[in-house]
Amino acid sequence: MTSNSVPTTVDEPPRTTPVTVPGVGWRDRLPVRLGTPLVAGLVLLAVLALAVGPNAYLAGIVIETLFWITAASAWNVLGGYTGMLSLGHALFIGVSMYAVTYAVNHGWSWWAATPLIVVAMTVIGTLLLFPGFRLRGPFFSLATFALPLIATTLAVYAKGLTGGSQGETWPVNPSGGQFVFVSRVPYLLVIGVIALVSVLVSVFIDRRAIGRRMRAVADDDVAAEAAGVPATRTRLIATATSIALSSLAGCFYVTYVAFVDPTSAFALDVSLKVVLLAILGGLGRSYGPLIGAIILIPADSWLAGAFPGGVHLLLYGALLVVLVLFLPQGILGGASQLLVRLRRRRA
Amino acid sequence: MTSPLLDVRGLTKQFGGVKAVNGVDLSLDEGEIVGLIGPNGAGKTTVFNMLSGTLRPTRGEIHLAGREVTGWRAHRVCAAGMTRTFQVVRPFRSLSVTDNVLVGATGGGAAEGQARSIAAETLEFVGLAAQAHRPARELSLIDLKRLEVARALATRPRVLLLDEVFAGLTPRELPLAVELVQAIRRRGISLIVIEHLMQVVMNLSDRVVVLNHGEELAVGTPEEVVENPVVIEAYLGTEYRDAHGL
Repeated sequence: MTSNSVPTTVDEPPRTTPVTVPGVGWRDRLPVRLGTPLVAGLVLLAVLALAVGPNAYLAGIVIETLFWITAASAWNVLGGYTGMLSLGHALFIGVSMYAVTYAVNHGWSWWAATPLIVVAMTVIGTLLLFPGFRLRGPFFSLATFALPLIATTLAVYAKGLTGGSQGETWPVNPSGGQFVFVSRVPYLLVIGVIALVSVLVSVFIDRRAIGRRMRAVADDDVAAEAAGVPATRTRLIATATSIALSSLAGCFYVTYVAFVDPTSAFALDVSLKVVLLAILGGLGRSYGPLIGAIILIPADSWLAGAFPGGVHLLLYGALLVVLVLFLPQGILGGASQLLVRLRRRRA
Repeated sequence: MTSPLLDVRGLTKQFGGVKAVNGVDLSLDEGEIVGLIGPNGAGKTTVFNMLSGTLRPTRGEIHLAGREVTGWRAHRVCAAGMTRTFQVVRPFRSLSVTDNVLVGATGGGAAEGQARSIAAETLEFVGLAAQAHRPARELSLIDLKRLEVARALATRPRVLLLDEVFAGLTPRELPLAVELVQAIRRRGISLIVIEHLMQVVMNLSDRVVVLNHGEELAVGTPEEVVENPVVIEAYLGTEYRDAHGL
């Protein structure tokens, strides 16, 4: 952080961030620096909820965007910071969608079921990925890639729990406990808070020792171990954090779409999209997934409306190609490079 | 006689049918610099890998300050006070120079605030203060070697294992590196140094251990070792003897 540091809503990219060298005050030791993004986020969210709440179409786009911010930020903790490129994150979203649907259809309140499911999913998911910790690069990706495929098959066969290939629907009668509302505002607010939490978790990681450790493990785990970093513990923390946030995203998302079936819950599309948004926004940057989702999710919706009949997919694909070609380090990475170049020219 | 700071007995590493290191004994006293030399493939780096916890020994014992650390994971050995640098530099390329050193500082057990002052002080010490904010991947080789040393020093070790920190440096850079190692010793850190440049080994070491084919060939003062005919035969070569008029 620069000496006159006032944290802004746009991240100072970590790679060029000058560090206040000797001694830090108590402010740096406490996560109070999260205060500014927290307040800014809450204000923005309230304004947004009031502004787009009455318009179902716009509200839908905002809700989708906030969901993808959460899912991509969750993935980024593991794939971006820790270098474990999971291609199976749909598993954690999908299983949580099923679990919370089952709970609510069996008389649970959404609010009570969600924390329990998030905890259970985190424990089970971490145990599932743990044997994969010794796998590197593409081998870890392939192992994780298989998980949602297995889950799809299991969900089709476990009819009693999942409704088989028919899927399960969410209750329809408005009920606060079951998270069924006519207005879009509650959906906006809840997913907004969840998205805010996921971004703040990233910001927190980014500014603390754990973030450096995750990056060190991603860069070179042998050297990290030699420098005193417990690599396995670091991977466990990253995995658990990532799964918890993914699960939370899933528990919310099903209330909004009010339906879950094997193909939508464990879609390859979901697993890939979280990766894409994080990479295009800026891999391993706290605000990367946020920026990626804010630009690409509404663009996707708008293109689908403006160019129906498959043309939008073509254009969306073209947009992705252009972004990858010209901003290989993501939108934030490109922006920070530009800043550095401008600063050097001035100097 | 008190027991040495680092006491290694019968260290052995077997890869399949190959004994890369076979029954090596080593000791390092407080404040001592021991040179570890030998031809390529003699097992020097494998010894470091075992001492630092990167590799598990097949047999043997490692005692650090009276505590047995045999087979411990590297991060625990590091916390116990022994760490190493790598022959081929292994910086964390996505981190800044300061962050690289901070990883070491917190890895050695320092809290964040303390870690920052350790990192700043260590960078100053190795001469990287001016590069503190640059990404590690932009550094030159000598600076990467300095960073390698800084990251290890920031863990506040009692024993530092240096694996060929002088390799690849220009003749002009060598004295700076030698001076750096001597300054590290003056801080009360004991060192084992793997090195091929005999001039550096002679200069720095209190004692020299010669490895050949995974076994200990000779131990002694630098002068004793270079005059040892077995060492000349196996490692130094007759040209070395002739050139130095031995």
